[in-house]
Amino acid sequence: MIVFAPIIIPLLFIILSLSLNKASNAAQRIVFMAGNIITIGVGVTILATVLSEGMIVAQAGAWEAPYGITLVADTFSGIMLTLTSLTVGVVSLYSLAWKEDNLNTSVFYALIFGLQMGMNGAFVAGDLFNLYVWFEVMLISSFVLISYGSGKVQLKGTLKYVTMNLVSSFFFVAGIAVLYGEVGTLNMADLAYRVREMGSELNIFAPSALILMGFAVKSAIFPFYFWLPDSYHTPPLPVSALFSGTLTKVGVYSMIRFFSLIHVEGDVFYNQLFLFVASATMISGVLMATSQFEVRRLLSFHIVSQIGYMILGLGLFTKLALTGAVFYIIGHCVVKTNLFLLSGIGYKYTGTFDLKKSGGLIKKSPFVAILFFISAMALVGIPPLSGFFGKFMLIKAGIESKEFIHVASALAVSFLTLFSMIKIWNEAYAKDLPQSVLENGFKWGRPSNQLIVSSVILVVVTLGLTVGSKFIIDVCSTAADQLLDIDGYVKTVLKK
Amino acid sequence: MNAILLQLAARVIRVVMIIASVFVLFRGHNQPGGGFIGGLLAGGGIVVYVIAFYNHPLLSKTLRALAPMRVIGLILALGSGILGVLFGESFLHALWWKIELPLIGAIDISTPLIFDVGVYFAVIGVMVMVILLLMEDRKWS
Repeated sequence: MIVFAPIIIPLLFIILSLSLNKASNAAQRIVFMAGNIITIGVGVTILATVLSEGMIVAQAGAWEAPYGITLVADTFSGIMLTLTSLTVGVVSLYSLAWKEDNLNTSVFYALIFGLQMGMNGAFVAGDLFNLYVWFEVMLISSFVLISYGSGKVQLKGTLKYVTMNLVSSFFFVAGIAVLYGEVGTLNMADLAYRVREMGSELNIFAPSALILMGFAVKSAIFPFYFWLPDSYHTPPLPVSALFSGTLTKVGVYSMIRFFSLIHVEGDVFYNQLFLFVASATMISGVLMATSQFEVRRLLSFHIVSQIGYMILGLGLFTKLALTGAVFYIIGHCVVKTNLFLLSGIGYKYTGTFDLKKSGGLIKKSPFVAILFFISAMALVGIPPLSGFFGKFMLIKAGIESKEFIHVASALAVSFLTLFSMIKIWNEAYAKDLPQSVLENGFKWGRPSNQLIVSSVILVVVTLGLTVGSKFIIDVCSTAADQLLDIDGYVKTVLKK
Repeated sequence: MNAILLQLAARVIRVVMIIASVFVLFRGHNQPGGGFIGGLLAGGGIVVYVIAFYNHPLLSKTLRALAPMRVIGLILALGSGILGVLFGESFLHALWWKIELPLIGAIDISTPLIFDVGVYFAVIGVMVMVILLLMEDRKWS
């Protein structure tokens, strides 16, 4: 029953926020934050239940799998539910203090809950078509959110975002149709069972290729990533932060879920394809990032590059690699969101996102500089911060599987990431304000404390990942075990 | 501009489309149809009416009164799922009741029907909202 909660609670709060559109601003904010806190609570409860009692399976309307709508929560889902609801919660707190772009309206709150409902639904979906539907729920909310601001720039970004995501949805649903024609079921456990029972008779290459296209666009991997840096820097900053932390992770999650269940050893998708895509994504993303001077664009290209690490875990497909990938997803989601939030704080100080025109933040606010430094180093993977553990496990797994080329590219990309982070540090924090800016009557702005508090929460979580790394890695390795134990998944869901 | 012919036709079309939409809504139980299609039909009726009577002073006020239907619809749809839980079954579990009515006889009432009615209301509510926004844009209201 608890598996329904991550879907019902946001829906309930959509209704509440919409019906409160005439209520006072304070009441709306209280409902908004209450909804976020309850959703975080639900995520944590599900994770705790899964860890103590194993996978939770629920059938909507008591129609048994594979005929009805199945909801499944395992450790990986539990981790993602907790992680995304936490990120959304912190960004919500941040957005209340943003005070620009007309964000504080009941419609905005309803859209955030809609986004959350879509993501949560995708994490617990046990059925491929249901997954598609949740993707759509998430996308439709994000279409509106990304066009907030309604300027020329926003519309340009929105157009790319909407077009690419609609095309990818088309590929996804076409793949689902072909797969249904071939295998005769869309329940993921039943799919895994049938593919293993009569693998050689089925031709699932075409549907898998189509579905991969769908996921590839949504999670922005090579060669379909170009839409992401072009559209993520246009909406209001809280929206960019939210998207960068969570949306692509949903694509990666679905990819790991689907391809770990469907693909059998010796398959085209099993290994080499993902490894190649992972390396190409990492390298192309990071190389493009080095030439950027708009801080949000720079960070967006880094999202692409780091998606590569997660795909690397799927390509290596050993227990250690998947553990590393899951840990990396956790660390990256928190850190990347925080870097966006900090660039927003920098914007409040200097009034620009352009690195060439900003500077002097370290003297203005050493505290914010420390927050940035910790997050940036965690992203690069300097021990003992969170990025290090994920990268270490992935690279160790790569060496064990003798994939030296991909290990080398992962290491090289880390150096280039460091280069980019140092660039932001130098330009925005260390150097003095350029003379040309000072001559134009520059005035320091002041971000409200609530903005800084939100960022502090995420830094505390990042440090918590270091302090509690043993526990977190144990949880991740349980998740990896469950991902590899396909028979266990099939047995629990289908009861055979 | 008042297009008399259109206004005469719109009165009839509105009634026909709303009756048809209710028919489609109930038909959807076992045959093609349902809340979504029904809601769109009703919304179409409203659109025709709005185009014919766009400069009527009370029009946008009436439409504003209809706008909360989207929230009512969502509550009905969510509530039908929660009813299943309240009766000790799983979420979205279908519950059926037979009701004897004079003249008509026995009819089936079920939670899927409540869900469909919820979708019907929500679709009409959203259509009305879209119409209102377009009217604002055209400065009709």
